Amino acid sequence: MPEPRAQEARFNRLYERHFDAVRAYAWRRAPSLADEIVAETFLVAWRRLSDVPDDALPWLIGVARNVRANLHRSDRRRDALVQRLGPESTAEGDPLASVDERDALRGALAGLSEADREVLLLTAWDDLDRGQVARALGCSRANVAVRLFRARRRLADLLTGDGAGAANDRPLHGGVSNAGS
Amino acid sequence: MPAPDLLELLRRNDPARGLPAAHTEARERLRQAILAEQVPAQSRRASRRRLRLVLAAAVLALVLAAAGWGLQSSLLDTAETVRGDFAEVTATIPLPPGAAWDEPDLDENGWYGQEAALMTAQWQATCAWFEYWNEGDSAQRAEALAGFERLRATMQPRRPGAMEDEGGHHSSSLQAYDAAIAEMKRGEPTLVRQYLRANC
Repeated sequence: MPEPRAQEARFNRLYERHFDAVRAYAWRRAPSLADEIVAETFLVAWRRLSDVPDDALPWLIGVARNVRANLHRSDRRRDALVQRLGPESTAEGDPLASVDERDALRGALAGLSEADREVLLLTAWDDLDRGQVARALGCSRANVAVRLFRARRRLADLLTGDGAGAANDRPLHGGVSNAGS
Repeated sequence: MPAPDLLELLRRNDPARGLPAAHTEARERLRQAILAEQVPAQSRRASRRRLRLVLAAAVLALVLAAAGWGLQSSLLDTAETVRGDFAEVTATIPLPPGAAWDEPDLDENGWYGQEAALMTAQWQATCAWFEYWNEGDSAQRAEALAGFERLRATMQPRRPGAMEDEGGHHSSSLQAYDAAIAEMKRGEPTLVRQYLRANC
């Protein structure tokens, strides 16, 4: 087992390198829970440091996904301090280029399956490559490639009006309990 | 639509675009809280209980940082004192037409920084002016911008070297407010709306 100082040094590198990316991931999916997700994700990373691979970001995002899902199921989401950030169903981190574009994109994303949408958003927003997306989601690269191809095509169809029945008012988040439910 | 354009469209609409950076001190506090957890813990239940307390403080700091706030004082006030201070400071801070102060939601057994009332009032006033701007026509927006600029002028930076809970706004918070003002002058609602949704 590595020396405690070596463990701490490794954790510090991990924290410095990926804090912003994990926080941005959490903010995109569940703004009102973002800080809790970040805290618990890095806590898990510290407790399971020996499990964290060298390419840590996909692993961290996979943990953050689980933490987010757990928090959504937990009473902790009703913590008064966190509630001050506003309802999670609103797109608070939503600096979109235009209202029309936002609305169109929101409707189109809502027309994708949760799995396809997550692959697409991990690629576009979290800047993961296919291998990293696969590790974050715990699936194969081939599966990611298929989902990504399907998601792009479906989203393009929906945005150009070729898709049926996509438009609705679901919020623009790729979250488990936001756009996906 | 070609795939690169599609990805560019998504990136242009990234909800995390413009997300203010977490306070350096809040980030460091969280790191320290995590590292304070022994690995492996000898007594998981006791350790988890303690950790939850520590993390709660760290998360609070992060929440406040994301919201553009810093904890205000290392000397603490009671809820009653904060309420009294709030009544005083709100008398000196203008609000837009139609807006009203909300009584601070305080834990009667809680302890609060000495600037908690002032910071809460500035937070509420910021929300009020941003809402007024967001909902207004050009004349109302001009009025709201002027109102918020006056409020911003009263926001004091934290003194150099001070801990985060000794009062004053962190420089990144003030920079975020200045960025919002710059956008408001251009008629750009991004940061104002993001702030409203995150904090108000």
